[in-house]
Amino acid sequence: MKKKLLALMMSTLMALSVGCGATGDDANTGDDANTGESSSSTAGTEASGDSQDIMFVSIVTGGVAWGNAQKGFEDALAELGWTGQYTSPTSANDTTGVIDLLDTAVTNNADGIITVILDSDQASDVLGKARDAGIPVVTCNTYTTPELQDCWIGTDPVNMGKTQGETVLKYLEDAKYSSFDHVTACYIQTTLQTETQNLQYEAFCETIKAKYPDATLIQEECNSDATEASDKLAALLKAYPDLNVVVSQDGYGCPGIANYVESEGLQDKLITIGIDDSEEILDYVSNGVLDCTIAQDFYKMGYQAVYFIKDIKDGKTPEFDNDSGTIVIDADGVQEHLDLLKSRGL
Amino acid sequence: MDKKKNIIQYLASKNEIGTLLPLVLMCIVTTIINPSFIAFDNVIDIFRTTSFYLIVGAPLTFLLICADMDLSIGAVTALGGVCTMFAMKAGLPLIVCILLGLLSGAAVGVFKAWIIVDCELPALIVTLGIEYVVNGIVSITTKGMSVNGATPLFKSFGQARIFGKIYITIVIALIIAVIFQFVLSKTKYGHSLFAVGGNPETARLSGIPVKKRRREVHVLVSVFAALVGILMASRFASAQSTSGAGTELTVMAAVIIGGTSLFGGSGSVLGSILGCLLLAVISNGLVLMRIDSFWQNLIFGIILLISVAIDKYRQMLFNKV
Amino acid sequence: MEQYLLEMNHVTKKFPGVTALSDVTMNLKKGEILGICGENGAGKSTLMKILSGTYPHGTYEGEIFYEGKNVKLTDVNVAKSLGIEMIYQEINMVLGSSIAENLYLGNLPGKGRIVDFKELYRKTDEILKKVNINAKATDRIASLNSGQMQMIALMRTLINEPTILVLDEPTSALTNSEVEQMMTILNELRDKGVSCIYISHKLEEIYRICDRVLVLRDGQCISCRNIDEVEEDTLIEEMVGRKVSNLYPKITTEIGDTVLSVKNLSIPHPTIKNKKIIDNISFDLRKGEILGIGGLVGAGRSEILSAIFGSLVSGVDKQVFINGKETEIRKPADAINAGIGYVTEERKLNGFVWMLSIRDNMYLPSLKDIPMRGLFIDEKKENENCKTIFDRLRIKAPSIHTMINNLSGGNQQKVVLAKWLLKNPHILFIDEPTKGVDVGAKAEIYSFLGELVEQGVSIVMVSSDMPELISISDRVLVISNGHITGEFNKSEISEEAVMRSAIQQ
Repeated sequence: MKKKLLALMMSTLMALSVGCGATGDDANTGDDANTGESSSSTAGTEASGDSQDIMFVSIVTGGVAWGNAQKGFEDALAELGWTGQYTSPTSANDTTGVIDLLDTAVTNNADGIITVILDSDQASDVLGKARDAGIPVVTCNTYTTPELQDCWIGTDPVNMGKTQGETVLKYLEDAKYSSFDHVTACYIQTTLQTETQNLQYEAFCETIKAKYPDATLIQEECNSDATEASDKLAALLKAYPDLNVVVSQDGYGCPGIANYVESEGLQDKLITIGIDDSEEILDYVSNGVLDCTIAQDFYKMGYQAVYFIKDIKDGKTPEFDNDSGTIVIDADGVQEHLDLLKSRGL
Repeated sequence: MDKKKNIIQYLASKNEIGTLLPLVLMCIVTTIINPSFIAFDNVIDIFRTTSFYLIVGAPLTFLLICADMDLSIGAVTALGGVCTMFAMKAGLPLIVCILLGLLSGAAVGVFKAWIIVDCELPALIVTLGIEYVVNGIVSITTKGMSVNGATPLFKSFGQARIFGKIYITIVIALIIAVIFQFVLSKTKYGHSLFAVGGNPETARLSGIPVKKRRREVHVLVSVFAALVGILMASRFASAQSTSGAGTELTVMAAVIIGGTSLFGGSGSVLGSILGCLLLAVISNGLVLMRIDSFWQNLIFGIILLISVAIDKYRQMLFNKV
Repeated sequence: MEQYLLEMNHVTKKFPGVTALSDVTMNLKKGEILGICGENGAGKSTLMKILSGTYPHGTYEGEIFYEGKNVKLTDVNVAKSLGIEMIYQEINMVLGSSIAENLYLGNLPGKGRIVDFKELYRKTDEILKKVNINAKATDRIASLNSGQMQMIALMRTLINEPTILVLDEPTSALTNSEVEQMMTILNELRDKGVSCIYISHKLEEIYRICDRVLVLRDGQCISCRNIDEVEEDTLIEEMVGRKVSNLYPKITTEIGDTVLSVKNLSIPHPTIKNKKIIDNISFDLRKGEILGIGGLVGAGRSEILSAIFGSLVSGVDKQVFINGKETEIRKPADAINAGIGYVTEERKLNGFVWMLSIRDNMYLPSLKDIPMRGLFIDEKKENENCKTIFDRLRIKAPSIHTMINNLSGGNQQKVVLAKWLLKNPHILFIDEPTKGVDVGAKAEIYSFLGELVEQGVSIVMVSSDMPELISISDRVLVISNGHITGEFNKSEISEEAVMRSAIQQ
């Protein structure tokens, strides 16, 4: 018994050391991203203009969205010769975990904080501490109030919803869908608790209703799961046989939706709008399964956020609201977008 | 009067009634509100959802009967899909890819069984730990992106339909369920599992290799979890690091609703089929009834509670007679 | 030399701190029934666990010969393959399964891997008919009573056609007619040449069925003789006959008025339906008295204490008078309020909370009385109170903050005692006060009980330790078959007398 437990502990330790070695290598490619902790205490006392240590507290690590933001963040740091660290809680979208990491960043005197705030009430305390400590705070794709932070950059939810609505309206004009005389649209988002997505949905509804006051609009969630998104769409088509518009607002659910459209041959019966720009989704766009995808510019969020911190350090005051913009990519635009991604090394 | 009582007694003696009753009720209610519920296509859709639950639900029934549990199913599902897709990207033959996917599941299963059965650590926390470890491995290797590059053959497999209608997944799930039910009810192996979970000491004294059985069933669950991942990858032509997230609780709920005891010693694959079907029908039916999605979780939870309550009531009725 | 079927030579088995068996030699001829008797804890079960392979070869000293060949019983299955089958005192059934499956557990009929249900049910029905159990093969085992389950357990072992059958107190859950049936089956087996080892307290059964009888006491083999060469009185003497050492201090106190009076106490049997484990008994406890309750394991002694204390409630009938006033005790809190303390037998199970320190465990029943200063616990006072009792009991631990699981059995028992002393009870129930306690701590616990009665506390003590029972008690009640079968005052108590009452039917 003792032997077995010992063996278990030994093997765990070995796995850990191997694992750490591997992540160490990874981090090196990210421009010494994880040397941040050690240098932070000294860097914090230095005057601005010198090397700075920036903490990016995100909600998730990896993935097509925030993975790109991390790349942008690291590219900007490399350009400026700064150091920094990208972190997120172990379980994705854990708001309390984000707060805890922010506390750590403030306690360790980070020179600047970039973060994602899903719930502004929860974060007000720690952001207040950061403000009192004189640490610049820039948020990505989310925002609180100017009292608590310096500025934010991201997809403006209202603009995003509007863009989605306008894109739908544009396709309704299209010759391919000229037979459509009504709008029954479903909007499949991550979870119904995501505040910004709800804002987007409202803006989307307003845009559609302005032109089609009788439109039927349905809001659904897919919990970032392709299977669930696919099954939801199948059921929605039974519940609303006249469904003719599908808008996906979740990068993981989107392939499930596209897959269902493709396997059932619904390309002509549905206007399907995707989200984000993963290789897979772009493939669906070039195949004509998705009419288009609306990509948020996560790379820009991570990249630009670092430069906002530089501005603040240099004594400038950036605008509070900064829209990183969205890119609508249809079949013709796929190649151009791929080139853009390539130029950023993604 | 007597005859009526006999029927109630008979029904009460059937473990599956606790699931069948809400299932039938749910079907009737949904059909009344929206007749397209019983349309062939919709039924096939429901079956497809059910099959993904069931493929891992059947071995999980064995595991719960042995009074064990597994919270690492979701992560192993993702792992199976990702391994297969990586192998495919490397240009290996399809059959090798699938075997590698299953092997990854088996490897996790063997490791898990060793910690739980041989090191005697509690299954709840061990499998939770393994869930994190495997999730971590998947995230590290995929960087959170989906792995695509499915060969046309692989893609067509997951989307293939028999008679142009019935998805191959449904057929696979059905075959698996029938085999598991047969093993459980008709073979010596299956019967030894009830003893392992019902009273391990008695089983040991009767010469049943308790530890070996538990190890085998742990490995089975992981292998089939990986199979689900492979089938999902085949369906979407790509493997996602998030696929299968949270399935363990859904499937565990389905199996327990199907009358399998969380404390081991009783249960049936038939019940698990009904349990998986019930969950699939509820999630499909709530959309078909056009229930506002903000209300769906609430109603879903209530139906589950009712189902468990019916089962408890049934047991009381049964024990009285 | 006569050829034995089985020989166990010079077996010694040690547990940490205890020698369960020392140099025991036992042998068994083909086609005989060997009775083994001895007090609780004499080592009978340990010996049989060695024979069954539960304690595998290598964990004990000594050799085992089967048909003259030296065998190593490394596993339960090795013993089974030799034809050694066991029937245990506790019921070993998979309660969720059918009678047939339990009967053929690990042994289902059928070709290859597939179960032949027709065959299974046919065979089971035959066996059920043979043992007069009115049930179907497909019925759940849980629908049988414990006596019937014991018969099923017996039949289960017979399916394997054993050469040696070991029965450990097989009749403790059986009714008289079931005992008759078992006797018939055992006689049939003997005629077929099967050897049996029959462990029992019940001398009547030993005399009826056994050919030879082996007496174990304190892990040692005392005698082994043909049954017709030994008188019952001699057997009892051999079972209990040990010198009472000065381990037991003489406590003489003034016995006062009746403080606790229990009337018409009836307790249903925990496993057998419609049977009472305690059937309408009444007794009194007087001030400053230690009342011992003796009897065999399973006679319902612990249940008496639990029922009066209110921790065993369902189906219990009782009237309790404290200091002459009728007191209703529905739950333990009522009993505690009435000044009763209860030190349970299973101290590992319900004696204390493992993760807490000595102090926190001591204060568990007295949470209400924790000294407070305003809103907060007066920790200084609390520590002082605990320290006083800690010192009084001479608990051997670095401090009152030591975790309870770091203590020895004796010291743990002292903490359990301390728990109740903080409450200052005037009546104390103690169940097996020195079970698993080493000799040194035993003496300290006894002298401490003496101190208590001197202060006017009255004690009811259940004990299976015969010398302890007769030396410590001022008066002994013996329980058997649900009734008080013997009551002895200090001057009349003897081990023989108690034993005789305990095995009285």
